[in-house]
Amino acid sequence: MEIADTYYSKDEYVETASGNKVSRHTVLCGSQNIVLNGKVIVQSGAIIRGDLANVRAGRYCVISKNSVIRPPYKQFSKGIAFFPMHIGDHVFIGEGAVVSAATIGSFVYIGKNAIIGRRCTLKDCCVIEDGAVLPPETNVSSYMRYTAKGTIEGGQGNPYFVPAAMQDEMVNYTKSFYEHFVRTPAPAS
Amino acid sequence: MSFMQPSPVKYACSCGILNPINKLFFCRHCPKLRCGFCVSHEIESNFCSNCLENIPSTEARHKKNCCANCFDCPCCHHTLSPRATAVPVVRKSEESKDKDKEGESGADSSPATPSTKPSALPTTKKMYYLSCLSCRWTTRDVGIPDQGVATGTWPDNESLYQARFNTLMEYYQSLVLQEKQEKQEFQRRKAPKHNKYPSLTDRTGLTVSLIRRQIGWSDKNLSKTKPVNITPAEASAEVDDLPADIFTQPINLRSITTISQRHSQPADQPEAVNKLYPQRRSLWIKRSLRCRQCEHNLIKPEYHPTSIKYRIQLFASYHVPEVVMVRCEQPLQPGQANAILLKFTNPTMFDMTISLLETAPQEVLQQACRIKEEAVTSSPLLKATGVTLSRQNSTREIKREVLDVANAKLVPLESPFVLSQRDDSKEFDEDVQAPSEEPKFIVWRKANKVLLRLQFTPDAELKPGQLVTLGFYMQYTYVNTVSNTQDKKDPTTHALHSRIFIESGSIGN
Repeated sequence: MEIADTYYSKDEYVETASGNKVSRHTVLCGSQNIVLNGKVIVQSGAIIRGDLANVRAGRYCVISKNSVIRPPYKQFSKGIAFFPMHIGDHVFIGEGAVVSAATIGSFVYIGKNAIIGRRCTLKDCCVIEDGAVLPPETNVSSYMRYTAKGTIEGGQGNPYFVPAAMQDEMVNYTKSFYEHFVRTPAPAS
Repeated sequence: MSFMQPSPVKYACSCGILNPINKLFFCRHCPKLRCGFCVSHEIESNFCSNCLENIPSTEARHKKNCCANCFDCPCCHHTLSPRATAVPVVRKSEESKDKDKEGESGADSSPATPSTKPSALPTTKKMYYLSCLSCRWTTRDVGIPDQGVATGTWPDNESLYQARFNTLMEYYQSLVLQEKQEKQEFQRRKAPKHNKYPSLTDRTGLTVSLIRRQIGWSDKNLSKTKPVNITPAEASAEVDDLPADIFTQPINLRSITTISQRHSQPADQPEAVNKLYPQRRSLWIKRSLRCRQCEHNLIKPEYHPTSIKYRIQLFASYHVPEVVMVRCEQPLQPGQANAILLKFTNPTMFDMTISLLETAPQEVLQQACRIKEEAVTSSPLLKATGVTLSRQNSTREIKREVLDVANAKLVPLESPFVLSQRDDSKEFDEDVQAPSEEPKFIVWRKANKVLLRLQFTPDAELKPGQLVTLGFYMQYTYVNTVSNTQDKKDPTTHALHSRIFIESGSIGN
């Protein structure tokens, strides 16, 4: 199914020179610590906590409405420390997801309302189902699907859980999402 | 529309199962569509999904397909993670249970432990225990002592019957060996003597025993393996009585394990939670898929666990024109003419001619393909490699007829249309192609994509809420660049077809 066009008003979104589209109705704390590498969409209501640690997102990422990106922390004997967070290219983060993973690889799909505990590592080409809850320090390796029940399924070459061509699928999906995320045409015409 | 949701466009695989294109593969040698159901799955490599260590298959078998370093929680089956604590070398009670790495460098910094002697040396040692961050289970809960090293030293949970299992295993292994030897002996006796002077042609030393036998000596190298004796198991009718307090004691469900907890520990299946033990994490596999008809690989992942690449990847989306449903022009009503917009994409480097048909094209071309198939399967190279490998037998596929689920009448397109080749540089071109003479049904054309308008009429007897499914055969030309025969020929062009079903939506009220 072709992705339907999503329209945004000119006043609501800021478009940068590198093609990032960032809503004004977001909370971007410590914006000097947030790096969006181009063609990233940050939708309304999203929170990115750059004040805690650096957040880097690769190209063609989608950070949906009301999601929270929060760098992970680790407890030490003398207090806690926050760690930077890396997000790869072509990553989709669903609505209302709370993400405090340490690293997210490329071509990762995170479903709606998923909760990624602190210091998780999500490798390239993995899928987190809608509503899944990942306990802290979980590793999800490539071509694995973390289900809402809390199990890990799949593996590379298993055609039933994660599509074998996950890389191409995510590239197509995030690119066409970006292309179909267009400004509302002016009403004068 | 999320791409994780089921696609409305489905292709019929050559085995007759409907699949979206991203679950299909395309065997270039057959050339046919294949799905996960009609290919043979093989283990490419074993690895642990937690520590991402690649484990060779022999080692994996030796370790019972478990990772040596990673453990699963016996309570919730999540991965356990090692936690470090600083424990004074002077042994004392384990007060430092609550948080990892509680720095107890000196007695004055921990007023909560009054038992520490201030005179004790302030040296501490790092000790590790395993903790589940999902359900907060720790190895300390069941009294497993902390270890000095984070991984590797955790003791195995020896079950009560381990020795018995081992002797039984040994016995049956020697039994198999014995049977094998007897079979060989029988074969050797049965085989006729080929010539009178076997010693002249002997290269293997096998005939030495033959000569020895002719002289009348006994075979020296064939010491028969005798299976070790085992004590047979005995059934007994005596069962211990239930303990008397089972009726009087109130059950504390918190201390009793669940079924899944017991099954995850199959050797002893503990009843009480204090008998739970960390379980070694089972390994995962990477699969390679192989066409059952021509035994060529369809996908073959790279060996390394962190790699996401493939050495062979014959996805259908690389070879078969992709059909994407854009929308229906009007709300669906039974018996009312409607039109659907479909986007066709050519993924190959060659132009394609596509026609949409209502009935299957004639089988002439199929016949040609079949002859080619025979040639492939009987090639000497495959015989040499394929027979020795253990794999599922190649099967002649039984063609399943796809049930006719289409419930709409299509208006066929007047003419076939051409889908131009994929050209990645076209993506950056801005200029619009000069409109050439196009058939009427083509809405627009851009690089390797065509949007076309297909008219159809849903059946009149459909009720509100019922799905309207369009079905047609898509015939397309496919240029095959692999040649099955030895001599390098020019790429051959096939006219292939695949059956496509589109769920265009449900009838409105």
